Amino acid sequence: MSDRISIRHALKKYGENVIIPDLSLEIRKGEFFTLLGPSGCGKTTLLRMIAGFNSIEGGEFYFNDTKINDLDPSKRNIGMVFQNYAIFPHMTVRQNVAFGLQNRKLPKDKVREQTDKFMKLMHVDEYADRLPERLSGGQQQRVALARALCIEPDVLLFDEPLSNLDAKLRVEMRTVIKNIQHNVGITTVYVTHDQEEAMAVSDRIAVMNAGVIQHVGTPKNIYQRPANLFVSTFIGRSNVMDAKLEVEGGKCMLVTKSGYKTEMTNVLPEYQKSQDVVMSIRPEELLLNRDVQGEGIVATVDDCVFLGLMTHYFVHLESGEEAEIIQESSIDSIIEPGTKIRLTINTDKVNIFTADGSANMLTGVCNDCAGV
Amino acid sequence: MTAKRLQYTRRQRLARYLRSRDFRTKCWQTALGILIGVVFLFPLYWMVVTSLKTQLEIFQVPTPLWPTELHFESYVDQITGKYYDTMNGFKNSCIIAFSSMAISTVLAIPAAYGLARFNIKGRKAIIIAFLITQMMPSSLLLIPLFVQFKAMNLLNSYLGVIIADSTIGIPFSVIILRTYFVSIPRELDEAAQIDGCGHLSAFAKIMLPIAFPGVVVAAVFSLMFAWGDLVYGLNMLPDAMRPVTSGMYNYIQQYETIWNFIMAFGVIAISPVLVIFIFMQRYIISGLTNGAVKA
Repeated sequence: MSDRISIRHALKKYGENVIIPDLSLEIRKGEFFTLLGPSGCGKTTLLRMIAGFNSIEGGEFYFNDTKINDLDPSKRNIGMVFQNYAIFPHMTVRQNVAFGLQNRKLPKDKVREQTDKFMKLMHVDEYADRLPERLSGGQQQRVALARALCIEPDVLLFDEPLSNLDAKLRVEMRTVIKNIQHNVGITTVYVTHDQEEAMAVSDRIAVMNAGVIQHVGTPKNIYQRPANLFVSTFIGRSNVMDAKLEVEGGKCMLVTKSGYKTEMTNVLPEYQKSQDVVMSIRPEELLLNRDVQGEGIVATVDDCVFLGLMTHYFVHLESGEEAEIIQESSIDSIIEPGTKIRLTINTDKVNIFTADGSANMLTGVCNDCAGV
Repeated sequence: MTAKRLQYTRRQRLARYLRSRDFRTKCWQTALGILIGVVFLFPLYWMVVTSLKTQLEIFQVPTPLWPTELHFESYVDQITGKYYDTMNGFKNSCIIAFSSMAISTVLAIPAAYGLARFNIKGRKAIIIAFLITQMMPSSLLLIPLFVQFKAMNLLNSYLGVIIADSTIGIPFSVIILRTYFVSIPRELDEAAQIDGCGHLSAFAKIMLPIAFPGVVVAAVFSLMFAWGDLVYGLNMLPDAMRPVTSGMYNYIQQYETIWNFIMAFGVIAISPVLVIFIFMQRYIISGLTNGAVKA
């Protein structure tokens, strides 16, 4: 069985230091939910509150309709995979996987059957009688996952489970985790600071900063329509530039510092007035023209990096601002540093935020945390 | 031809290695290790050699480094008990040392775990108190313990000496084991709890087996402290109940000291501790180092 998790007005303090001031969140039954944010933003603290390892200074935590605030971790029926795997070093792989079942006093044949099933599922059955010290990092992680799943928990928690693995294994293991979660259909809360990892595995992501959830949404939505400037700069790369929004004859015009003007058709009605704004343009949303004549922002190429499929250009604009542009590598020679170019903006994809960066002014932002 | 070339290459590699700084460093380190080993082992060697010499040979100038003829009378006397009933001394030492070891270990394990894992008020002060207690010489504690034990009717009983010896073993064990428990990742506790363990069963099923080398170190050192004690055994017990260490005085007589008998007695007295060390050295080395460096 899989549980829905509801968190209402969670408060976490260490002495006078408030880590999470007031956090509310709904995690749907069976979904792969990721808490993403920079180090020290409170994501692991929140996960440990769900697990029962951190005290809860305020608010309510529910698994379905059961309040779990004061429930012992051993009674919550959760599985957890830790950053350092936390495999018991004195037990073999089989003993590790079977440990939770044995504590639940299940019959021996049932324990064996269940252990075999999950060891096979995680492809660690061939190492069943090995001690963890004789396993590689990836194998240890699989054992940790098998142990977490074997007790058939209602909720599965991951605390940065891939951060100790090398890059190649990380990619491999995240696919394993994603596939297993989909097959088992268990509600999963996953903590990471790696945005690429979060995008690859999650059904929904909550981006956190300073103990506050900034945006809850699908990876696509968070990337394309971030709720605020922090989310925009934390997820993927962004060129952040000051600009102005001007309303001319009912039309909203985005005016850059260098005077380039382009119409925005998707500004929310409440923001349709002349004001200072911050625009966030992803490197692939800036369109590069070799012809300097015509509409656009004139810039000079400072450097270019050829990466096979894509070429990265680092430019400075006439206004003095710097920007990065990513273009598909062409058969022609790449643009040499010092060359003047003209940039235009893909207005469908660019994001515009209020001057303080606190809100996205465009339509299409789906922020599930706003409704909680 | 190929094999010859290969051999030549190997020889070249060896020559290069022998000229390398790495090799020179290893040579120095080995020489230093041997020197330190000799300094530490020479008293043991001298004890064994002296026990096999005659009194005449012992005082010969220059004294020979090994006996010209092996004399085992000094060892035979340990069994016949002409000067001292060594077997009775052994029995007393075993009762005192093993009981003290058991008490020290059983009390130190939960104390060390508590100090390592829980935020107890005054934790630092308690740890410092243990450190200070460990530094106190037995002779300093003798008088207050003697007064207390007299009031508690524990004088002239094994229990008094066992408790007194535990005052040395417990602080040492707590400090060694605390370091060990601190080095064990907290996540192991938490993983055990998630798998259905309470604090106590997580401690028994996970922490204790992982900390086993540390427990062995604590137990062996507690045993060694109690085995080597003389002050408490001599002052708190009657002759018949005294540990083996007190027997040495029987060979120091009014007009002579029977050195070969004293040395043979020493060899016999330290042999149980030596045997334990030899069998437990794997745990002792890992127990002493793991606690300090384990991630």
